[in-house]
Amino acid sequence: MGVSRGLFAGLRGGLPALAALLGLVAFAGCGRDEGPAPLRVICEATFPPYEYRVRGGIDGIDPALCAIVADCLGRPLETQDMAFDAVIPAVATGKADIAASGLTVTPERARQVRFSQPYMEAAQVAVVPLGSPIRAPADLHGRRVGVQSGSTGDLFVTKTYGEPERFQNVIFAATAALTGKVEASVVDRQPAEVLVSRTPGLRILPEPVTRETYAFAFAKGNARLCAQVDAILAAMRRTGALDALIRRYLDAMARQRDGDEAALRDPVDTADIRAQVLADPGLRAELARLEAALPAAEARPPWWRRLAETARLNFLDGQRWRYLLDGFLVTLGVAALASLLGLLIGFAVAAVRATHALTGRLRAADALCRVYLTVIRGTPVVVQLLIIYFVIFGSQDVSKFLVAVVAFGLNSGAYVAEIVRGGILAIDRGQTEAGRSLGLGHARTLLWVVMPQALRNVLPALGNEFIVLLKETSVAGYIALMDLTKAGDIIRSQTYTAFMPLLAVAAIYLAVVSLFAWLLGKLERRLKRDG
Amino acid sequence: MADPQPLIQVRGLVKRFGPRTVLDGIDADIRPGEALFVIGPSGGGKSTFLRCLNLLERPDAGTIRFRGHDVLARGADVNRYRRHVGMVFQHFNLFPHLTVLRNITLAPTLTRRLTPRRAAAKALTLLRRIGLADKARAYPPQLSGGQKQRIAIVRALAMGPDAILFDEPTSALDPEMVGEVLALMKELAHGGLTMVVVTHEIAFAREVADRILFIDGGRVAAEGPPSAFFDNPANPRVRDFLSKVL
Repeated sequence: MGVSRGLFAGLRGGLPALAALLGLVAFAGCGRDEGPAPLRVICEATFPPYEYRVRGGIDGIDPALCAIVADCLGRPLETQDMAFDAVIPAVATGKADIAASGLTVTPERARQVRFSQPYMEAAQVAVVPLGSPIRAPADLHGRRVGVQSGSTGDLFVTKTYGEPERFQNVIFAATAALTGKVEASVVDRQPAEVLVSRTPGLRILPEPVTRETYAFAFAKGNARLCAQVDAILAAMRRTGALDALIRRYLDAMARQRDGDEAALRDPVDTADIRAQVLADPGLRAELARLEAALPAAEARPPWWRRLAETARLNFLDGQRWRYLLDGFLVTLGVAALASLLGLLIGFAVAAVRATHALTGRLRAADALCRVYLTVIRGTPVVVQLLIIYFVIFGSQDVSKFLVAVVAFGLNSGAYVAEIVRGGILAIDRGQTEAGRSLGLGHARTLLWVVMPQALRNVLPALGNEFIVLLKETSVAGYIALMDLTKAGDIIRSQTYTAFMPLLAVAAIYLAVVSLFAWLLGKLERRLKRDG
Repeated sequence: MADPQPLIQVRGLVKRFGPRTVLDGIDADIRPGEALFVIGPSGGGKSTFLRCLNLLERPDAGTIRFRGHDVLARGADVNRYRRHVGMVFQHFNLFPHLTVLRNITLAPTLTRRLTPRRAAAKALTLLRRIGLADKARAYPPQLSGGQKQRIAIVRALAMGPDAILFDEPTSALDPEMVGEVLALMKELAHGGLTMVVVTHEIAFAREVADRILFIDGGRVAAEGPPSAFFDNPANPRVRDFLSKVL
């Protein structure tokens, strides 16, 4: 709504207004924060009472505060819902003006963005099933703990108790604690209270895991908007408007907890508070002073400084390179073991199929092999992985590494089988006849005479299959196995960096694949020379 | 001297490939120690007959008895039969991924006919006999055609077979290599090895054969000792054939 209204106003103003606007923009150098440009606010709207979906849009403490900011600055408000992981990178790269998503102030985040003064004190609490032996945060040591990926709970648990299980949002994390996938989940207090009130069987530990403050985040260079928001928050604190606003949302939550289903369904009415803040003459003067005193946006540091800073943040701080190393070893391990399994399966299947093709025996086994090949080659590997994890090993507590090896091994086996079968059938029939004429049975002839020659012919194709497999293991993250790709994701969720960890992961894959391709080329040339 | 019991006795052998009848009731006896040469026009069924003898082709009708045992019977041990009846192929079919020595010792050791040590000793003795002991560690692609075929013959001999079947052993050789292979075969024939030879080398057949089997149109058109066969051919088709090849 706000967007279209602003746009229409600009158009209806006609040419003179447009010319004046252009002149103003040219004079100011950069007019991004001025004029009718909308105030772009982003949040992840599953976090009551801070932000949540209501009839007709998004409401909560953060959107209500941002609406006041927009009113004070005379800019239309444009609120967008996005994944929590993406909120900080989006505001840091200027895709939004304010990140208002119940953001806790942390040193890691402060390196990426500029924080306003805190507007709220909050706490991370542990949610546990009723009857859990975990009674205090200290009991979390050595337990499987769930968190929302990229949240302060994630950062704190990672630092304090070790690697957590990372879930997409607070609801998944709490559900995991209920179903026993984790023993406890560490989440923000207010949403935790809502969840626990709706979910029987869960409780919140009375002692918070950690205390923290909430603030809005801005791009580093956007000092003016940050100062203006600080001024508005300071004025609201002075007049008691901030407390009144927050109280209104906490009350709505309490009513909802007490069974009033409508309490969080409709927007909370804060029009009077808004009007009160707008009427504050001291605040208006202060905002005007800031508008004049501060530049619209500071120059960003040179690109190489930012690059070095980002690299340090992503790989050196908190020894994050260890994620990449561990993930890389997992990727190599899965690929190598799955490859071995694939070769085993592939050769067995190829032997059965070639035997059937050459002698007509093993009909039932051949039919079974054909079913296997059809199913494996006719479905995506990630679907096979999920089925093996959730359906076949669904009820057992089995190592994810093992599941990945089995899934990728089964998958690779089908492709190896077809490669090897082709290799066997390409060997001159005279070789089989010579073996048979010497009194060797079919199996011995296949094993000693045909297979070694076929293997040599298909070695390059098998090498290629390994390279393909190595890259395919990148979907192992689907079962929360931390392979190289997932390691990059974890770093991204901790540092709020969009690209660098991804590029590092790509570079590592490329380096390994190039190395194997080079070795393969050498092998191929050598086979050609000897042949 | 009474006719000895045949080593291999063939009766009424029929082989069809689809609608085409390639062998149409072959009767033949292969006697111990004899060199039986099978000749006849191309496409007459000579090679198919030989391949049936080793069961590389399964006959559609008829019997093959080895020392009186029916080798086509259900449950007969084909692999064991083949250890008694070796085969030498037109294209040698040496195993290119194995050394010459391993080509020769592979079957005797895998079938436990000989220990690895004895198999190697025997292979070296045989290689020395044909003057190729220095090639023991070479691989087949490094050898000439004549050398390959002689080693293929030695490979068959290493199993200690009762008979060896030769399927046009010199057809794929350059002319200058034919002599060395024929010389070895002649030596084996004189040594008393039972041989069945399909060949186009008529002069060689005449010199070495104990008996000739003339196959044409899937049938045995004529048979007899070489002297009678070559000098007094009664059968007009044999006469016709000989007039073309001699």
